Amino acid sequence: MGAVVRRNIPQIIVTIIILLMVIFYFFYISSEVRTAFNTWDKALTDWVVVITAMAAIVGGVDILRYHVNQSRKKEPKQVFFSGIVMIMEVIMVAFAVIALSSGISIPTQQNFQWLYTYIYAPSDAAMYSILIFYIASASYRAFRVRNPPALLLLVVAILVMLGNTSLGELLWSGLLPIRDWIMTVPNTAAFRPITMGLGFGIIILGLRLLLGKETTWMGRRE
Amino acid sequence: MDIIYSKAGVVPFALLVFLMLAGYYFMRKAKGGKPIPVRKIAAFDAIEEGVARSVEMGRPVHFTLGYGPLSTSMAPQYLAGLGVLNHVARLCGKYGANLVSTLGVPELIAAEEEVIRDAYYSAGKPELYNVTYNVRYLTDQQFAYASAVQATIQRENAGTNIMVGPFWAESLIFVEAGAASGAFQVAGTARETQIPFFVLAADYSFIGEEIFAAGAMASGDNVTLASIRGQDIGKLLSWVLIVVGLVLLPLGIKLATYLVM
Amino acid sequence: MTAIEKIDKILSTRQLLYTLLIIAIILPLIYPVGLPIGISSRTKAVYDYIQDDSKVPPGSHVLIEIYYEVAARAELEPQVIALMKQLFEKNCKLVFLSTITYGPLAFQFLQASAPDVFEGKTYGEDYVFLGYIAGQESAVASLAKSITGTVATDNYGNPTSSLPLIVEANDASAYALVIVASSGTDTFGWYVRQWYTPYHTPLLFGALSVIAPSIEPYVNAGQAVGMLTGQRSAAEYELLVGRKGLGIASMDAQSFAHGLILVFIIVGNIVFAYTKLSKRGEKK
Repeated sequence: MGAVVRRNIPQIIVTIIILLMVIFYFFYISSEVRTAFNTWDKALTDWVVVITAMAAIVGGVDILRYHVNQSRKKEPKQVFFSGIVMIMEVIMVAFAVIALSSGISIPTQQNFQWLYTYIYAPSDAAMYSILIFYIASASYRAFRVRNPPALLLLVVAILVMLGNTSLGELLWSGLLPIRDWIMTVPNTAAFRPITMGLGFGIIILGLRLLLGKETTWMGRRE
Repeated sequence: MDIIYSKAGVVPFALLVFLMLAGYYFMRKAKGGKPIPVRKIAAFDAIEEGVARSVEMGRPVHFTLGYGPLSTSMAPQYLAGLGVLNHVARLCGKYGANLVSTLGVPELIAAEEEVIRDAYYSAGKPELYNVTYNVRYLTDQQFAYASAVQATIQRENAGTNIMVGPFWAESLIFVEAGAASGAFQVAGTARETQIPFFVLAADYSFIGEEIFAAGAMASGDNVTLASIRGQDIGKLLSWVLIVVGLVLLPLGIKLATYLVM
Repeated sequence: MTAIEKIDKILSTRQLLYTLLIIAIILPLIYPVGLPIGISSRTKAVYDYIQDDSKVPPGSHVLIEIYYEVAARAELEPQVIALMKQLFEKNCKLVFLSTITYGPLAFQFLQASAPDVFEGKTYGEDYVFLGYIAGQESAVASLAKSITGTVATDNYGNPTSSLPLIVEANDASAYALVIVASSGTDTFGWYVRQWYTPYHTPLLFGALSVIAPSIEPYVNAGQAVGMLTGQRSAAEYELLVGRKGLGIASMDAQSFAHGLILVFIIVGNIVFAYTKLSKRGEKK
């Protein structure tokens, strides 16, 4: 009974939904069937939203559990860090409860807006900005010409980077059209097979899900 | 009276069915006992090297799956990442390595816990399984996740850093954090724009669809592995269509118009 | 230790690389050099498309999807502002919306950054912001069929059926152009599938420069009329519309940063080649 509930029923649900989604994506089947499918489709989408929200709550509890455990270890740096995370989490939950109980939509609540604008947004922008530093260290450390294709890659990269900047304009006005050509022709040609290969990989993964050969999502292998 | 008609094209549907049948055909052949040879993927073999290296250095293995909601077009990549995690966890059980798995997909917390627990138990090392240590859900917000993973890699002093799943701008942050810690790095994503960063900075990388093949290889099952041949049939089909399209184009026939019928 | 080995030792310290980069970025921002900015053919093509009255008639309706959060503002916001300026000069009516939760805040920042562009424009008649619409691709599909059927109120609580702009343009067929300013990759595909394929509504993409290669196929296939990518395109567009903004202001810093990274790459390769040659020499 345990195996039926934990493996067979989820597998049957997944198989049925995959088949229905494929059929209704490709075909229109009478308006009554279509309406019924749309109703179920909307219901499924709503259930997905609910599951995602519940999973976020589980995630929040998981984070709290981890940091409570970590703070018990009494390492000074860890206690400080875990303490901040736990306090922030409690504050967020408190703001959400206040907003819900007073009937205000959470994103428009002033405190959330303040937290987002003055704490989250600058931190987000700062983390994104860190990328330029990592690109600099990666380009010194890792961008080495070990073979002829790497040399070709380096030359093309230099042409594109110079074409992207005003420094390139100073050197030669022809760099911009060269950059445009590289981005439009060889670059697109290189990306298209990767995209196609991805599509085939996803189709075959779908086949494995359909046939019950892909079970890691259930948390166990065959 | 309403009838059944195609709204997204009969030809695309036929191509989809053809590819699935091709994959199914090879899976049946493999079930009959015929081994299906699959090209070795260097990054897949490197995972074992990385885990062994971590054990020698006495440092944990770090694995990350990516962030975001499961119900998006990235879901196949999360599944592929779970497959690779399965393999990594079994190797960690085999060699007795500590595994720190971070993720930003709350729906997969339970699946990851089960995968890792299963792996340690079947390797005979149940004492290494500690749910709070092994599975760390961080957040599903991009740069909060990025900074948390970066901090985890550096704080835990990971000996091996394995990243398989969908990654966005944070991909380079992870490889650089791993490089700063001196970790051995294996990375893979099917997000085309991030593949170059992994190829440049990681020691080994899976390129695009190789993560799906890695997921199949990780299962260790010949039948599952055989399904990869279906991908190859798809590629062969696209070559044929490209050549046919190029031949027909000077004759004034655009093959693309027929492929969307 | 040879000179090359000394250079390698110095440049291997990350902190030095980062410091040089900070200087290369901050100095041009404080003391602008005014390097020339050429206009690429792709950006010009987008500008000409919008200027062409037969393609985007004066007074026509344009939908703008704001799908980026704060981190991507620097690249996408200047593009959107420049496009808005050109469209408002043609008296086009703009409908903004967002299918990402941060959209409303991004729109707030957009309004704060371009008060001159919004000057003289009346909310509800010249522009409208529908706010965050949940549902991603299904929301985009539903909007194409009926905006009032998908969104009951705009971001400020006004019923969409009471907004003159929405009443005039309630479905995909009423729009001369859809601009998708997105830091993601999926969004472009949603609009191609749900607006272009069924209704042939022209699409224009505004993307991060790193995303450009993956959306290039849409432009080449004619599914989008063009694309603007990154700060470079934003700077070019600002020059074309005659409004100096963050795009142009950032170009000097971007140029010097790119140049410095090129120097790092070249020096790194010189060091690598020298090390390889000297090891080969030692073996002999």
